[in-house]
Amino acid sequence: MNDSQIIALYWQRNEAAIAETNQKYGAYCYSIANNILSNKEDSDECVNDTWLRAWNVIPPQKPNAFRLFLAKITRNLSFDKFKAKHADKRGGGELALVLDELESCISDSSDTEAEFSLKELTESINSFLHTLSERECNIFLRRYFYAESVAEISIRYSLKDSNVQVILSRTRKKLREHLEKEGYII
Amino acid sequence: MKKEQLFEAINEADDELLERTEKKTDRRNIWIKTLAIAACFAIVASFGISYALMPNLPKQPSLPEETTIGTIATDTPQVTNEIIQETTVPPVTTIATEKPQPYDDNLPKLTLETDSSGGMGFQGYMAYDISELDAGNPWSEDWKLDKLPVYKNPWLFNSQFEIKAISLEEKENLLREIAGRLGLDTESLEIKNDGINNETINYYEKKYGGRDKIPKDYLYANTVWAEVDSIKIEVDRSLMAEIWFEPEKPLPDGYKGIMSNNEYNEVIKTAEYIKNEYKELMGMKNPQISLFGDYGIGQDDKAYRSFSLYFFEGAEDKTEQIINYNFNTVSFAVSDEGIWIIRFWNSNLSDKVGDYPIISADTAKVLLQNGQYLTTVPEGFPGAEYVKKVELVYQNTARYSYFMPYYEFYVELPSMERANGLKTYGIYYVPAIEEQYITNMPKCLYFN
Repeated sequence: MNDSQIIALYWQRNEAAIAETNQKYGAYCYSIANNILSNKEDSDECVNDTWLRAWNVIPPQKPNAFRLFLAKITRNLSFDKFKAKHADKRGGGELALVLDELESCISDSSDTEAEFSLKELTESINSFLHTLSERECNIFLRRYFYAESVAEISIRYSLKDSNVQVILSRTRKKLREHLEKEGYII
Repeated sequence: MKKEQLFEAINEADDELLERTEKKTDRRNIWIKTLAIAACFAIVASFGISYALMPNLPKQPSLPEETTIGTIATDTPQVTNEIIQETTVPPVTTIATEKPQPYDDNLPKLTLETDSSGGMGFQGYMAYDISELDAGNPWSEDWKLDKLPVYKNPWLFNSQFEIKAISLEEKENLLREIAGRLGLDTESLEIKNDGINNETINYYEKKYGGRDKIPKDYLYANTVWAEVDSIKIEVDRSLMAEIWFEPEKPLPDGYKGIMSNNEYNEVIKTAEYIKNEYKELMGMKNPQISLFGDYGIGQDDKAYRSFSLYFFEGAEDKTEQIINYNFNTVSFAVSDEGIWIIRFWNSNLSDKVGDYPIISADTAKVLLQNGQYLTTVPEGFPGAEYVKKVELVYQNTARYSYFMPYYEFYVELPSMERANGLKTYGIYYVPAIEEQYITNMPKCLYFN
């Protein structure tokens, strides 16, 4: 069943939509959740919550890129769960490393608690991503959107771990410069 | 700003950028062969990406008298899961009539491996005509082969993507050999690795009372490399050697690059040049060209063809040709500036399990029609009239514990044809080994 047919089921309020979504994208969303949570039960729960969230917003929504629409919901829900579980202590797993790396883009700035619009930051990040080369952008997103390990990224793109690490490090530096330029960090 | 806010902001990355991340690079090895698909679809396909990331994937119970190759059975309800789904197959009236060869008790039974890519699209290639998707596979449907070898893979990834069966010394020796072929002084090479640093080694030396007493695992290095002027040689975790030229090694006047080049005549001219000039570096006496070019959709919505160039050693013997084509190849990444990367792909075929009886391509096609295939294509098999090509290939990734042959069917997907006539050919696999040696013959096995 293709995506438009699945979305049509949602619009018809046909519960088969969820089964079809689970069949087609269950593994995909699970891998995103598990990269973030490193826990089977929590990841399963987030995937199930993803289907519920999709059910609640379609209609009125009619996503163009259904897979990525689901990916973003799963990522959000998983990260919320991660934060809830690790509210009082440092989180574990791959995501802790991912967050630490991102922190290097903003650390030592004097404005870490400043108020800003998340929407504007999102737009700013997107414009930054478009300035990167395809390879830099791909590796950045596999690491910081999908929270994949360096080893997995290196295999995905036929690169060495060391190459991936160097590219990530350079891209983080560029991001830091971009955020400084845009006034998010001072 | 907090790191969590930054992570959340990345959630709204543009869909087009996220889709692009799923297109992989130029590996042609079949289970990692992943080339671009139309931007409106999931992009990539692969049999062998992220099993390690799928801890919920059920394991196949071990079968004492059998060789358990894989991890997933498909013929029992309890193993159907969110990653692998059996879909309903209409009953077919055609049945295979080829008579199996007498059963050989000495050959262990095999279990198919279907390593999930975690839903990252499917394996398919775009072209205007199937004739454009010719990678120079020496196998031909006319070949009457009764048996083909199956090998155990001694170089299997562990969960950390390491292959500890390959020693540091082996990696360094290969690096020196490649350096020697380049005419470099192998004695003065300074070889580095990504293992633990000297300070840590000193710590362990004290702790364990001598370097030779440190557990070998502690000193494990995935990659070794050496740099001489503009050349960098690396040998990676799977004993794949690479030569990087930075800047690129220029081609003579009149020769064009291969990556991002739509012109077949220019590409093949460059391929022929490389074949003659780099024969010795490749370590081949009679290199054969394997040039594969399919299409991708650019951001301007136009179709662009790009090629990947491989060489494999020619041979008289048919089985040897198949083995050479599927294993131990050399690939060249060539931009318009010149030769950028040369990769020497290695597989360890020292542990042969046996020569297994194989079915013909015709019988495999009947099995395909009967739904006994493996695929990452998210659509059902559209029908025999859409089968446009068949090839015989081996799976050869370090994720699999065995190397075994499959028939690879290129099936035109009518629902995916674009307005400009560009077609998408989805890949469906049927095991080439006779069914009596397979514990989990697929029934329309979709995994993704």
